[in-house]
Amino acid sequence: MKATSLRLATALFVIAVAASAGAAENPIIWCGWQADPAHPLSWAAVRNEVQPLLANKNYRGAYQLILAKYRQAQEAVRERTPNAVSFEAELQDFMGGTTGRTSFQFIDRGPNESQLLLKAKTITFPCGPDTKLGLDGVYATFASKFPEQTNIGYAANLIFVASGDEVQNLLGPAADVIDNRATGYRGLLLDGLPMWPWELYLNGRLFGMHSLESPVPKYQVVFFRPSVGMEITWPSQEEAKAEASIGVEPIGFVRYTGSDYKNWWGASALVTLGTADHGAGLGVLGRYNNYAVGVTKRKNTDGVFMFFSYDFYDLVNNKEKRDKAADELLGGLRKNLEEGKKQLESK
Amino acid sequence: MPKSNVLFLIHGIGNHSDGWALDAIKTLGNAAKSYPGFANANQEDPLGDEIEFVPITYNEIFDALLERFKDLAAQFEPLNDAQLPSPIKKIEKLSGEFDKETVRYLGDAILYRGFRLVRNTVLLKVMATIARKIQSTGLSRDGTPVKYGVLGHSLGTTVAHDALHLLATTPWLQADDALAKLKQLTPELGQNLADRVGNNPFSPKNFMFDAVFMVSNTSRLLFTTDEDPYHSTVRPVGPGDMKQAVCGTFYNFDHRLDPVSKLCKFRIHDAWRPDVEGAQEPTLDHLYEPNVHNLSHYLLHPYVYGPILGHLAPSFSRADWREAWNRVDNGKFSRWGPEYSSESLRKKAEAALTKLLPKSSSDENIGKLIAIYESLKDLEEA
Repeated sequence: MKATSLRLATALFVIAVAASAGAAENPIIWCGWQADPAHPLSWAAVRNEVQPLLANKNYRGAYQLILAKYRQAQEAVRERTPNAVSFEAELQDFMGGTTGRTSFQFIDRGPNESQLLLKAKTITFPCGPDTKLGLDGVYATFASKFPEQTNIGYAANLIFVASGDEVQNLLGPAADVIDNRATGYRGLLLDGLPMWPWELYLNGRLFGMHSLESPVPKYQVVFFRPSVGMEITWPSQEEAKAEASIGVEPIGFVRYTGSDYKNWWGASALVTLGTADHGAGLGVLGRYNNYAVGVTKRKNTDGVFMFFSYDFYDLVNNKEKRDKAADELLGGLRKNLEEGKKQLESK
Repeated sequence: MPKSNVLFLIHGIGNHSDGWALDAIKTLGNAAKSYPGFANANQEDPLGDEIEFVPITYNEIFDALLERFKDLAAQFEPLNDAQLPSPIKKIEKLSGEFDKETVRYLGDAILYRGFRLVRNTVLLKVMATIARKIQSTGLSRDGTPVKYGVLGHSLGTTVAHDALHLLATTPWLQADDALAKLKQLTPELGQNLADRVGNNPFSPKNFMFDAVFMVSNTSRLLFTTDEDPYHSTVRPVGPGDMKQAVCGTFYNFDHRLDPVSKLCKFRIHDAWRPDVEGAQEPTLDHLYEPNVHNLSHYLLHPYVYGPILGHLAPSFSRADWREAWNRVDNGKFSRWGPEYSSESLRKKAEAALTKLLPKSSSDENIGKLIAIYESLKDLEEA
């Protein structure tokens, strides 16, 4: 009678703890079942011993402790089956660094089973009602029928959780590297010197040699890049000419100076086609950010031409700002004019 | 209370603002509510404590780039036509084209597939979001592993495929010598981590997604990785290949009448036969709206939402998961939506979709994909 009451009280306690833990800690093991905190290999049972080791980053110590507890639990069950032999071999391999932690990850294969995929063997944990195995889809039935496999399941979960702490150390540094690459490529693409589609393609091909593990390229190739500018020549004061011009850079490069890809300098070969009939100009161009200055020579004309290109991309982008500035300037001029008129009238 | 598990959602072609996944999340929530496991859940947000949805957007990169092309071409507008050489005239005319919807659609697929710098930018954004979320959430919560899933839709299946493969196979830490720095700071720990974890904590031996859900898979048509989708690491783990697979289970959801996924169709049996235990490709032929390609339409089906909830929502028990399978067999889930109650309407809708299915392998290119997208849009609007 006493023993029955004790069992009942223990069972109620386990259910209560499991229910409260379920709300706060979500202790799911395999098959979506909640862990029994009274099991010697449950997280609740070993937490106080394992957590300090993990906090001190003594992972090897934590794995050894789990292995010892696992062996202890299995000794109380029966002789080792092939499942247990394979599992212990996998544990040894893991501790020796020859296999990874995902060997201990439960793989859900549909609603009816979860699996541990070890190197040498797959251990299946049936989840559903199974008349052959005498299972009803409830954890307690499984645990009472297969205590050895239950121990394996709990130990796998412990190793998987503990080793997650170890891997967590490197998730931050790896995420930082990926973040940096992401920011760099975004900067190159959307903040750097705008690329025409063929330049975008060519730069991708050229920098294809850089896999994602390498830093983001700091150079950009300029290729048949057209832009609008102004060409000026002044062989003498009388002969000074200025005309709208289209510049094409057949080949060149840009070097970025910061990690945000907002500043750059570069140089290109330059061909210009003026709007007046002076023939094509050939020369070179230097670039700093959105500003470019070139020097060209034309076959039928003496003297050199200077090509100025405020990269019109920026002009187009800042149209609103320019219009506002122009309005302010015109407003100021009008005001001055009206004041001047008034002064003249009063005189 | 922190949410239990995490599902990354990766969108397909077209405009997707930050709230693009709300419909899909609502559809999943509505499905969950009809199961006993959610009887006591908050009926407004039944999955609120169960799954953290992380929708990832990348189409703003395509849009910004197309704007840049447009602005570059627009610089020639102030000049007279007579002043422009003919190649420049052609370029100038392009600026008006970039606003067209077709170009925006075409742009997404072509910029991704054809331009490495664009692709790198997109994939790195996706990988950075996934990596940072996993790092900040952690791998376990008080003794319970956190489960991670990835769902890609349409072009998003290609992006998911490429990003997951690269995340798993790139030696991230070697490049920045982060491990060397760690070894300098704490020699013993640094050495142990280098030996046991290696240069990529996201490699399959260290980290595996519980499940990958590919909805209307385009990855064979558009993939950009060195390994094609039949041979890459984006596959379900099988016995003995822990170092090669990024997920525990792989689902390929393909509606019978969805023309998008039929271009270079992904078939699990062609991919991994005979080792296909961890991969599933259920038959889907329900009809609730004219555009069967829509993500929300896919998610209505118990064969689709069942595994998603089964893997990631703790309250969705195995009995609920089995019930989801049964709802198809016992007719509780009707194959026809309320708008298709009459036989003639069904036949008409099926005929319209069948007409869009690619006829031969010569049809399998990006141009055909875009034509299909446009036709589906027309169907939806009609």
